[in-house]
Amino acid sequence: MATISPELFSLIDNFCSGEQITNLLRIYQGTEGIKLTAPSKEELIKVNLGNAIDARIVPIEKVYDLIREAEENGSQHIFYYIPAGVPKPLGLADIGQRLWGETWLKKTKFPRVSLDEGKFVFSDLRLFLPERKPLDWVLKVYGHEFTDHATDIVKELSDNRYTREFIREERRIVIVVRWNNPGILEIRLPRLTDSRKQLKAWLELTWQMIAPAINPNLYTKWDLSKARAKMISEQRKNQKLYRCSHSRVRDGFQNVASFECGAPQGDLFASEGVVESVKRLIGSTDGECTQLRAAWLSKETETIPSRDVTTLIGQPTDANEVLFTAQCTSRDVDYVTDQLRFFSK
Amino acid sequence: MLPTNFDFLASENPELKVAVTRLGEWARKHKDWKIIDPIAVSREIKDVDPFLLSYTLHLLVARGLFRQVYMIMTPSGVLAGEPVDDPNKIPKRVSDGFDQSFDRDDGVIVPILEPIAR
Repeated sequence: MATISPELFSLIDNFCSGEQITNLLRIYQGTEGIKLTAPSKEELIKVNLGNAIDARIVPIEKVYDLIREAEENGSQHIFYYIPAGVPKPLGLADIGQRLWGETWLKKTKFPRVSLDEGKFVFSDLRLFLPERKPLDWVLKVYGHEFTDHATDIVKELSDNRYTREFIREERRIVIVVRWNNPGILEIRLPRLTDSRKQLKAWLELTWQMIAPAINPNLYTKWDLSKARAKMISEQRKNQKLYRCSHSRVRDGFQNVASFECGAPQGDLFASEGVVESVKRLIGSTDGECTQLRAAWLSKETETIPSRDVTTLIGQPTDANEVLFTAQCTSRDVDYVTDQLRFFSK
Repeated sequence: MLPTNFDFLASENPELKVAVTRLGEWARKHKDWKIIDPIAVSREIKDVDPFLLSYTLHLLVARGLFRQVYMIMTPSGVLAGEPVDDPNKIPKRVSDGFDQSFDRDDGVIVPILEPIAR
């Protein structure tokens, strides 16, 4: 059981379902020492999986892949950037050497699962799906922060004086920098805060950390307003591809109008009144759609997306941001990015 | 997608015929919705006695076609989040469709009807 450190156990426990772990073990079913069932998830991880790793039946890399798939995709804000000039793909080795020098492979010993209290550290650099997209890579940062939550416990001290209980909790911030060839750099930040200020602070910190390898001046925000406009104008044609439920539009007089569907899974553009209003606000007065909430619909005949993937495309001050509201697969995220590439043309 | 044919209720309760017909029309109009929001129903169907309308909705639950769940209405007046079977399961902080969070107490928790998969 020595292979599964407390940090690794915590990551597997937090990010992987019992079913995912059993499915991993099932690949090696029939080999002596592989047991699929356990009375608890803890035992499934510590005993069944731990023994399989110790016996070198299940490669530890497979466990890391499970964690990577879960913690790097979905339930996050993705900020998209494109090279400011001629797109020149950055290779994995370029990034490694610029950040840690020639001997980076020996020095870094990725993946790293442990956290440094109060710090943000690089935890992984690897190719992303080399069999499918050999020029793509992922650079990951783990951050450690404390966060305070108020409880409902209030203690009266005297007249008009009281104390409220707070609980301090540790949290792991997972930041992913992904080169999505051709020509897109993604910075993925976790959906862990209500505060835009906090989110921007993480984004700024990430740019500072990667600056030795990726010069921020050579990248510009990928403006997704063209994609949003095209998605709106072609929404009836693409009813089986996506469904929009919320839209915010700024007209040429800088007036902002918000359109919201009464039910979250509804189709905003089923109403002709909305279609007409949005068209007029965008079309005749040099307006633009600043935010569009769209669900990318799964289809019975296709495996991607694996489920309906809900996204909020754009923020009033960040035209390059897409929020993925829930956990999904790496292929789901790439599917949405590819659709945005298509609608940006 | 919502079921749209509730005629069996009218054959059992002839006095509900108009309410059942209008509710069927409402469901067809909102075929993209996955729930029935009684508040939206009462706002849109104004020509039917509210008692008969609510009794029709009650029967949909009693007959096992729908179950009552809860959602939160945002300060701007639309439903948000996922339906839950217990209102206490709605988190203290909720995000609206534009990802602006608000306190649960600043929204309104409303009962809604969700079709039971058959």
